[in-house]
Amino acid sequence: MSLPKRIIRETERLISDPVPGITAVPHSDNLRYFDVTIQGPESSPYENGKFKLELFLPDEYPMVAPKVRFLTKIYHPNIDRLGRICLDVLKNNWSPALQIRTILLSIQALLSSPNPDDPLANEVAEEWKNNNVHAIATAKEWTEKYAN
Amino acid sequence: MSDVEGDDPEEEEYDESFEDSYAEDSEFEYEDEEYLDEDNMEKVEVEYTYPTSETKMGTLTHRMKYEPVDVEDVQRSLEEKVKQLDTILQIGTDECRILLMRYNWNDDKLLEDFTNESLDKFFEGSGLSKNSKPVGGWDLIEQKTDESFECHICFSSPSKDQPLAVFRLGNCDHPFCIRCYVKYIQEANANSRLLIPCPEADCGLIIRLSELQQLSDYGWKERERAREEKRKETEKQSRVPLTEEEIRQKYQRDQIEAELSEFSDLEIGEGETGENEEEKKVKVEPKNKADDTDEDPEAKLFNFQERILVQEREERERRRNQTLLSKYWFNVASKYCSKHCKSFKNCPFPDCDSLIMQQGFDSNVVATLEEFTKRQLIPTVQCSHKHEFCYSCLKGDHSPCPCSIAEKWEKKCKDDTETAHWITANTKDCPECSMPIEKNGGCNHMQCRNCNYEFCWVCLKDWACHNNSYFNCTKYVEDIGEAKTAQEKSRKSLERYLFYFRLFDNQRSSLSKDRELLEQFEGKIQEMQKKSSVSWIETLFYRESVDVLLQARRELMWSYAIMYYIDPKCPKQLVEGVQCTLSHQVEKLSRLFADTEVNAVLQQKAKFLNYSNTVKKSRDLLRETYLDCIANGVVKLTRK
Repeated sequence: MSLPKRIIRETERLISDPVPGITAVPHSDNLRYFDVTIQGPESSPYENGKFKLELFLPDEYPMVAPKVRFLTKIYHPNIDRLGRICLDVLKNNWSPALQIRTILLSIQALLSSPNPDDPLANEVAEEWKNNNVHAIATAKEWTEKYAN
Repeated sequence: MSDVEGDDPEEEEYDESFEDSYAEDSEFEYEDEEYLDEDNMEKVEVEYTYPTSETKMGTLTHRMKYEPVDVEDVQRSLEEKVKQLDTILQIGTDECRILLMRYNWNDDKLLEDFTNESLDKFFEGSGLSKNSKPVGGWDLIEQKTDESFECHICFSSPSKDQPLAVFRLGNCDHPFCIRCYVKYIQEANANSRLLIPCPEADCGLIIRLSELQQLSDYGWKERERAREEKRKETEKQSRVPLTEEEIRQKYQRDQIEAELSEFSDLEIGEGETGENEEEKKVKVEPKNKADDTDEDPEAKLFNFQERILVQEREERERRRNQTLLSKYWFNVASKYCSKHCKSFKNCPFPDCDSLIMQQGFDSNVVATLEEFTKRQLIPTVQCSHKHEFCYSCLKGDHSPCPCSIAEKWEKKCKDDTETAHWITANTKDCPECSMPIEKNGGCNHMQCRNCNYEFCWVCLKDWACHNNSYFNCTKYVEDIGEAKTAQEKSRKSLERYLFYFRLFDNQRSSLSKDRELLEQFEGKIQEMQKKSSVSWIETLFYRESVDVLLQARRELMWSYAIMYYIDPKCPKQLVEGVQCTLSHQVEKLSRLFADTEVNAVLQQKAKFLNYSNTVKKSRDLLRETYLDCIANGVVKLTRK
């Protein structure tokens, strides 16, 4: 199946006009599969970390959301042990007018502002709410340990 | 709001989505009330799974009450609600519809919130625009030529010589290329979304029905155009000047013109005087009024109108489930029914969008479907498109065979038939130990591997008594008396199974052959109808006889399946007798169909009616017999 124009254009633009702190490179053998890195946002426990993700565009894209997953271990209430992300725009609030670029920016924003009230990793969320200082310390520790 | 306050206890159960009680406003309940109050059979179409509440022998049938509903019916009643709400709120039907969907069609709760909350708060997050423009009249589709425009979904831009058709909602400025919009709605439909927002991520406006209508029309036109193009392509290839479709259309046009001129001439069609009584019976179904005015021009006019209606209906059917809008309404209706009806099911036939609403039972003891099927009763229902199926297992009608038995039988047929066939065709049992033996060599002197018994393959007697010459096995072998060993028993049961399976299978193949034959016939009859002055109604008897035949065959088929499960100790003579009669009459009717030429169909009308009537009677008798026998415990069903 040939690649839709939309995906070709998006890939071109990601390369020609990259988002600061984010890279997304398609695999040469599968242009729907992207290797993604996101820099941990400043003044967050993930600062200075470099997080690897994988992103896949399903056949129905852009009518359905891309599939994104963290490959780097991360301590975050909305990201579980398998790297799955709980983010509304990846699920119900996906709109075909959104792009890879906007999705990755949303993920970066999620790192800056975790939402322990809508958790995916329950234990992390508990810790985040009840013992915030310790949780942030753990997040920093994990970032140093895994995201370098 | 004129909804009747129901005091029916059943209604209390519908409340699921809101804490407040709002159960009493289902349109269908309303009709039920009407039925109770006025005893007006025309307004409600409550049907029963069995024609009578008890058999002639006095066995209660505990029949299930149901209502076959079209998506269109649900749509009509919902639109009524929308209109009612709009007379109060005055904000436009499109907006009211969205609000009602948000409130799961609970208009009381909606009105309560509307009066209690400030308007801003009420409309907040509703997906409605505050100063909404009605869609009516102007086109939301635009041909863009501006090269700087880019569709945010497919990233296409128009060029000078190739404009891009874009669509936008009436109340926002987020144009997308219309093909993307159509795809977007398709995807939303596939996910049964009812409140579909503008594709722009932070817009949040909900697409209104009239906007959806425009998209749907566009999508349909595109589809038709593509089809047309494809047709032209194939036409070019085959160099046929006119397609069949075109010829048919032209022919129909001529036909209609001819028909119209006929009215002005006040010509009177012929009718067979001797069969008037019969004819009347048949014509009750389409409309009662046409009966007595059989031969006057009014009836002709009516027939003509009827035919137009049929054509319109066919056109609708063609579009059914194929446009964005019809799919959308299907989702709306399903959602509504799932919230407001105790029990409803979709017709399982392919491409059929009818619904069956269960309306309880005509019984003091049976209250649920489980209890119903536990009594070995079969909830056979007929949807508004005349598809018959079992409401419990959603398979084709299998009466008089109860669901559990039917399921077991089908499984058995799948598992055992092949093996069993092979075994009976290729083996004989050892006369000593009953082990099935396959003969793999030429010699008739057999020795059983199991018990070492030596016997003759031809006469199954001890080899020793052949005195080494096995060519005189002319003695007839008596059937082995009682089943002594377990193996013999299993052989017996296999034979028993195969006996009924053959009957079942034979009936099944006859059924499909009859169906094929009659479908061909149907086409011919339609042709004949077009050529001569025979009206649609006059040939209705034929179609009805077909239905009777196929239904009887099906029932007969399943009655054989049930026989296998009847405990062998029970007296079966009664059911077997009825079965025999029905089988005989079915064959007679089938023969009549096979022997009658298309042209002679009308002359044979009396015969058709006669035969199908007897078949119908025997069929009812068979059904009743089974009901009686099972209920009285005359026959017991074993659970093999």
